[in-house]
Amino acid sequence: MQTKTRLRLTAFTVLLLFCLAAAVTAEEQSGCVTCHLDETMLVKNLNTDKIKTSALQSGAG
Amino acid sequence: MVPLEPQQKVLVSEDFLSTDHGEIGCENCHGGDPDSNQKALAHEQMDPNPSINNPQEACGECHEEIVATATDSLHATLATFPAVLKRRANMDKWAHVDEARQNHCASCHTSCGGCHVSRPPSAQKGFVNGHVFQKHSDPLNQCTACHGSRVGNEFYGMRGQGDVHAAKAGMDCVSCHTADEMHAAAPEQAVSRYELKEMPACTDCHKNLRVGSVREHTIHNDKVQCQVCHSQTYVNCYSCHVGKDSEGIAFFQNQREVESMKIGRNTDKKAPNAGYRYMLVRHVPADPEMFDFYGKEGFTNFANTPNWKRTSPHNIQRRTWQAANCNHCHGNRNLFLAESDLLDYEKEANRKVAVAYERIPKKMIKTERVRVDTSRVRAGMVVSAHWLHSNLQEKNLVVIDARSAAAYQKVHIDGAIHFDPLASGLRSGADAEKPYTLALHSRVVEIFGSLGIAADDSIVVYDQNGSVAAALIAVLEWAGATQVSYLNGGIEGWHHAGFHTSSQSSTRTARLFGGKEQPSWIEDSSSVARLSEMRNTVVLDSRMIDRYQGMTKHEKAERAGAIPGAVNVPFGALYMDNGFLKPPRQLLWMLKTYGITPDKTVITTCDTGVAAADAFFILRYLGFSDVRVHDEAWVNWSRTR
Repeated sequence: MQTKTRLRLTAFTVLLLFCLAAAVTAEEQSGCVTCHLDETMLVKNLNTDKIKTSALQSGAG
Repeated sequence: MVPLEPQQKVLVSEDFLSTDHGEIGCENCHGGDPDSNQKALAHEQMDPNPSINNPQEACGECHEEIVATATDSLHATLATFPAVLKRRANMDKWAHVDEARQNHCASCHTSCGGCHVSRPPSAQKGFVNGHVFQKHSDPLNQCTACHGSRVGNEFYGMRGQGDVHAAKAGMDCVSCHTADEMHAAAPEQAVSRYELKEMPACTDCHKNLRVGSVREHTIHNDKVQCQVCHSQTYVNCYSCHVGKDSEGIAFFQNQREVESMKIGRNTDKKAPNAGYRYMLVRHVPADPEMFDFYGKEGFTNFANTPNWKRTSPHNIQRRTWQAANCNHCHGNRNLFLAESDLLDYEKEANRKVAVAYERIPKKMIKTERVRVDTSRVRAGMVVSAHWLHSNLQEKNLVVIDARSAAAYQKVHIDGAIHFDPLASGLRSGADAEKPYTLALHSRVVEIFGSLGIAADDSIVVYDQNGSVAAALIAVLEWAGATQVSYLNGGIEGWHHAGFHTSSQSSTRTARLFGGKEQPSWIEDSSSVARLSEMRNTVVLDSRMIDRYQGMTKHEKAERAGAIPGAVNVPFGALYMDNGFLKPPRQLLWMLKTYGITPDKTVITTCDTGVAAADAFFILRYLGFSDVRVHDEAWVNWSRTR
């Protein structure tokens, strides 16, 4: 095999391996964590309403 | 438990992704659409609580054996609630009773996630550690997030001295309450958690008591529940009524909480490890009208089961007041539940639990005397509601309500002026260079003068639980006031005595306070470090056990921890709920068990100086001659040392 062809084949193999690895990683990591790892994004998107307690409640639970 | 911001509740940590659970993929447990980048679509059909709603699939595929029983556990089902309610209920009205149960009692249940991932829903939710699954539940963010007002407060020293298992052995909830118990299925028709055979028993660790070296164990073994001798006072609740407000939000109103201790007869010896005759009993807040909002006459069979129930307070001490001398228990009618303790609606339900006079063990003739010297107690520093009522018209009497402005405006002792020492300029603010430290004497007397108080007035201070009132008394005395007293029992003691109150604000004309400063009563951190090395000096740390042990820290402290050599006597050991004080003899005895005696120099400390001032007041009241406050407290100590 000529050197040029050998180089091309090596480059192609490396590229293929990289793409495969990227695909596997993307598949393993759920899209949910894109937001749930990002505190700034959560601050922007979260409803800040707190769970309401009645004003009539009194005493220890 | 520190409240979490909304984003903190659902923020996943990077660490989670590399755990076994993190590699599963969120959607496999929670559903939803991970491919969508639209919030609404991504969360469509998403289940935030898969271990509650779908435990078999979410957890059971890997943890099949555990899920098989855990889904029927007491935490998951609260099975004893309907079982007890059915005993008391008029079954013709069961639909109303059960509706109330579901709206008000059933929200506390939890499942796998509530113990291993998040704070449970009843504790406002939120991940404990970025969704990383915890093998053991977190005692502060999970267990006591629900079991807080009784268990948490008692275990960590908010009520009483705390529990020796936490204080001395560093144990937490799961040390005794193992997975076997937590995951066990509740027995069918169980009316009490004590029916679970997996429940821990003291004798699991403390074996061979019958043949051990402690004579009292040999005598009382099998006759008396361990807690009778080894618990401290605990809280009893009265008449929890439920309803919904005008916005439809469910609420409960617990009418009264009382810290006390009662021994009752054991009427159910069939429960595992419960063959004894006497046990501690707690008043639970059930009453026949508690669910009347949903329909009257729901509990026509209230007498079918006691509402003074077996209890196992989580405030164990090796040495307790009732066990310090035989006759603190023997012949002590007040310690045993009497018919006269029972309210009209509960007399029949508890008749068998009450201890008749002839059943109370007789006084012992020869006992070892408790050696406590009360002769130095400054009795005038504490006044009763009756004393105050009789002296309200005295010319130089000033009554200060040290609660919040809102509480004062609602109702207060007639003629009392309002002053909240925590929001008045007496101390530096949270963001000051030295946070929470006392202002200069000149500024403090100016503030007191503006309230119309003079140093030689007879001043009585009260609040809700003693914490603020006692701290204010300490500052007043430091500033030079000569006759300051603490109202025993605070506003609740006043209410309970049946005296009149007012909602009309009172003020006094500003005048010169006068007063001579007591500079030797306050020590800075350098002095505390130096003095703590001295043989006759004790540094008393009055924070709760979790703070002292460095499990949690004040938000302004640089780090968690405690002053080296400090002795931890938590606030709850010094003040009862609602600000009542235990008798001086009992307090002096308790302090002696820590090696704190009136002949010592005692420096009190805490996080911000308030609880230190509370301890300072108690020690002054008890007659200690050399007491000082570490005003800079842990917040400042942790920044400089």
